[in-house]
Amino acid sequence: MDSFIMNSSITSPSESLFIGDLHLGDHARVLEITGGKVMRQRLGMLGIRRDTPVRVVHGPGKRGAVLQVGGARVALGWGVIQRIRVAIIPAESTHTGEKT
Amino acid sequence: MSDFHETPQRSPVSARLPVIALAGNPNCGKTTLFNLLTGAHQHVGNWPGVTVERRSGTMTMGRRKISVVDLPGVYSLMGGGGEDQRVARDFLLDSDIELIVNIVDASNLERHMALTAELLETGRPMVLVLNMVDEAEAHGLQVRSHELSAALGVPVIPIVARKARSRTRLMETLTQALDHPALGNMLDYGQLIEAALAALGTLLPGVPPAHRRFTALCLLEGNSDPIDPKTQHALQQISSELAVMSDETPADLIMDRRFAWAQEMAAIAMHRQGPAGLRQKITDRLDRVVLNDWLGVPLFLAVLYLVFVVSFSGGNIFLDFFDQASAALLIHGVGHLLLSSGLPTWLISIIAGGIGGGLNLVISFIPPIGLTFLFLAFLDDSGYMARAAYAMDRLMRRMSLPGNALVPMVIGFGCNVPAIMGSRIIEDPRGRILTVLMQPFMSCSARLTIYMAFAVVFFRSNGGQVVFALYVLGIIVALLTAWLLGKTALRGEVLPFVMELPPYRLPSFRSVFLQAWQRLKVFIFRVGRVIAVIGVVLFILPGIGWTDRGLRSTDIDHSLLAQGSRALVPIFEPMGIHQDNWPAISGLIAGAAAKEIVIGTLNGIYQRQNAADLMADYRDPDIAGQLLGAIKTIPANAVTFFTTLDDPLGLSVMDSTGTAEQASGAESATLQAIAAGFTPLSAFAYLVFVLLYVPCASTMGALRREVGWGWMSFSLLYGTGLAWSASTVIYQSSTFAKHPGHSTAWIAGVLAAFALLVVGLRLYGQRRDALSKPSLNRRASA
Amino acid sequence: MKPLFAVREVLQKQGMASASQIAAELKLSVGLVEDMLVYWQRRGVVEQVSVGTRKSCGRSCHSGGCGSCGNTMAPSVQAYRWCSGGRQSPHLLSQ
Repeated sequence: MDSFIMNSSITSPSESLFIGDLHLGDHARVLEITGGKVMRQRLGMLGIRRDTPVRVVHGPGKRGAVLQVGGARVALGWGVIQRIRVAIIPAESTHTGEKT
Repeated sequence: MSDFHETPQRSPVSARLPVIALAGNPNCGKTTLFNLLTGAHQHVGNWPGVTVERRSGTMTMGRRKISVVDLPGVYSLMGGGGEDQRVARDFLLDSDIELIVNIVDASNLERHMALTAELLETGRPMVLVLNMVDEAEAHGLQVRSHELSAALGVPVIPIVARKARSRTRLMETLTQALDHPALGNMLDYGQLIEAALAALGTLLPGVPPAHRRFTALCLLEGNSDPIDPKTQHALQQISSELAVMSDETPADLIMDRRFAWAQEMAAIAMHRQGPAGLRQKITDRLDRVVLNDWLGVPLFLAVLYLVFVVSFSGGNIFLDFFDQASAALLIHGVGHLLLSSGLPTWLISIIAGGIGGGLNLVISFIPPIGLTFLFLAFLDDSGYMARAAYAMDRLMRRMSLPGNALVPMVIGFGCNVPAIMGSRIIEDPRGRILTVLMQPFMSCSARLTIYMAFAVVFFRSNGGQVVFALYVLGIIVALLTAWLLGKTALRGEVLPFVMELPPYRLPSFRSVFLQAWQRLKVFIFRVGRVIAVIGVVLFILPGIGWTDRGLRSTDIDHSLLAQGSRALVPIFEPMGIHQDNWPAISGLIAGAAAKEIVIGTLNGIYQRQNAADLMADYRDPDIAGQLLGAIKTIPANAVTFFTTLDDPLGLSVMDSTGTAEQASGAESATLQAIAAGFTPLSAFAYLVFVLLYVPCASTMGALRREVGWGWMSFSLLYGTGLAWSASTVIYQSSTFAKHPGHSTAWIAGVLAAFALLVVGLRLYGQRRDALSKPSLNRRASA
Repeated sequence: MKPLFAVREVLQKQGMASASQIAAELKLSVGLVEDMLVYWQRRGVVEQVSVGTRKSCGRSCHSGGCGSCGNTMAPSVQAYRWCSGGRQSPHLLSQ
């Protein structure tokens, strides 16, 4: 079983990507929310947490971005989208993405 | 709802406030709900001995004061969690709590109900709040709270915590639950476990009976250690017996049952209606337009314009009907009845003229205000408001305000009181105070009546522009106030915009109507009460006066009202109000209580000055004819509405004195008297004063409730000072040529006072920063 | 239905699966399955693995808080693995 883990793709550390760097329609996974406990709590309340998959449905622009998170849409101002570090999920594996 | 078990009533031992504990998973909207319940009355500290934040506050339900404690968000009360969990568990078990309010996310029910199961085990009265019901519905789920309530044995209330209207319903449920506490049905763990629990329960002598089951569960699950060797021995014996009968550990069996129960409850509460796919598509399409970078702001302005057109012009269709019909019934009808019953004339004039006349004024405003409320409720329910806030965020941010500060401002055009209450949607306290302090400057619908009456007399051809200018001036002053305070006394970062965009939906007529009716009802009763009282006062004050022989009944020009108002005239002299126009000041004094009665006050005074026979109208009124006439105004006004859709404030009617008189509630004699007392310039200065000074007693009350005495006093002084300064500067700069020295002095004085205010606010801000920094440092090092 | 034991069975049978796979098989919500997996994980019979990271059996930090996996989480998927012979004592639940 260990071999399974070791053989699977060992990804290189991805560069720092924030929501502001994404494009309209991109799917991404939240890696980290910088900006303190309060910010994490506020976003957590709206379902944006580590490992949450999100989709950009508006922006990102100067105003901010609107994300689809589960069944809900969340509007985030510019100040927030630069504090959410994400990794893009390639289009073909957006659904679940697992290969077992 | 269902047959709840009732707990024995606690005896009132002390004056301790009843306690409600809010419990729920970390992301269930608990904090939003807490803010909704307690408003500004909250206290943030730490739980003893740990760094977990403790938020508590008080709320008022009817006449009862209740303490609300916001427990840390936890997924479970049982083992495995950190300090948060321990704090929540200890508080729930060891403190005196009258009611647990369990908040669960309706769109994620199975998951959140696991905690509900544990909360039921604590054996305390409970209410289940299904939050984010709209989200669940957007997913194509129908929420069946009655069925869930029957299954759980506790009241279940579906809400959307973001929405203030949920508060009323929630309050009702909480009041009921406090009066008739329901313990709920604990879940059945199956024969094996239940027998073990019962056996263990009897071996826990030190534990109060209500807690025995919970303690036994903790022991069986291995979450707590037995207190004494005897219990330890019994636990081992029971565990080994269980092991013989089942392959699974008791802990696993209990957990399994809990998960299964959560799933069952979720299945009871949620009924899948249909695919959510179509909704998603509609949302996508609409959002592409509404959130568009270029269209977003213009679209919002267009929507606002539409609300105005329909509220004011549309309201005008029925305004005359309401006005004339209520005048026929309340003034003439009541007057006639009283006259024929032989009451003295002074009493009749108080009841029919004072109270009836005052109520008549309020009633004539029901159509425009009701429509405003109706449209705001519609916009709010449709999911558009949140998007508008996002669209305006960047603009508002420049004024150091969060984007959602816009929502209360729009409400403020209808009435400042709900606007101030609506500021609760803003999470960060600094932004909330700023938004609340802006509201008094929004031109509410009551102020419009005063604008109308004056515009008719002085600004015939360009009345529309003048009224519009006053609206804009209000918005500018509000924004500048926020900007000024944000730069001085309330410095700080605007919290970045984070707001959930609720799903679009076609609001149900019932929900929109009820919401608007709730607000309208508050408006009518609030204003009606004030007017009834002030109507009486204003009918007495002009009738009696201080003479050489003491307090005697006199004519109005020598009455207490005249004497008092005249004494205040010198203060208003710089803005162009002269000694003989003292009724204008009486109007302002009355206006500090409620703006709706300013014109009514002027009406009363000017009419008395003309010494008309007030009783003539009551002797032989043609009530049926008047009612018929009132009904006939509806179709006539409907035609006007469709021909003047481009004129939202209905200002073109100013060309015809008759219609405008009715619209403003003033009678011709009053308008003539106004014309005599003011010049166009002093009239404009007066209107600016009316716009900016104390909005009304109720708004001040709302301010006090939301931001406290300090900021309320500031708002009162600042608004009145600003009103006086602005009017004075307007009047003096326009009459500069006549008396340059005089005007220069006044203007310089105003500017100096303003500079002093800015310096004062800056100093306050610095002190505030200095006070908050050490505590921040302390918190950072903790 | 005994959902908690059903989840365990699926995992025992498949050796390794993601929460959404188990949820699909048992027709349960993903959130609920995740919670049950977290329970089994606390019981020490299941462990979480990120496909694409180098966490090793029995010593994972589960939260990424240790920092060792924070940067490599990128397109990874959280899966769960059955570790038979794990610690069975319920008294370890409270850690």
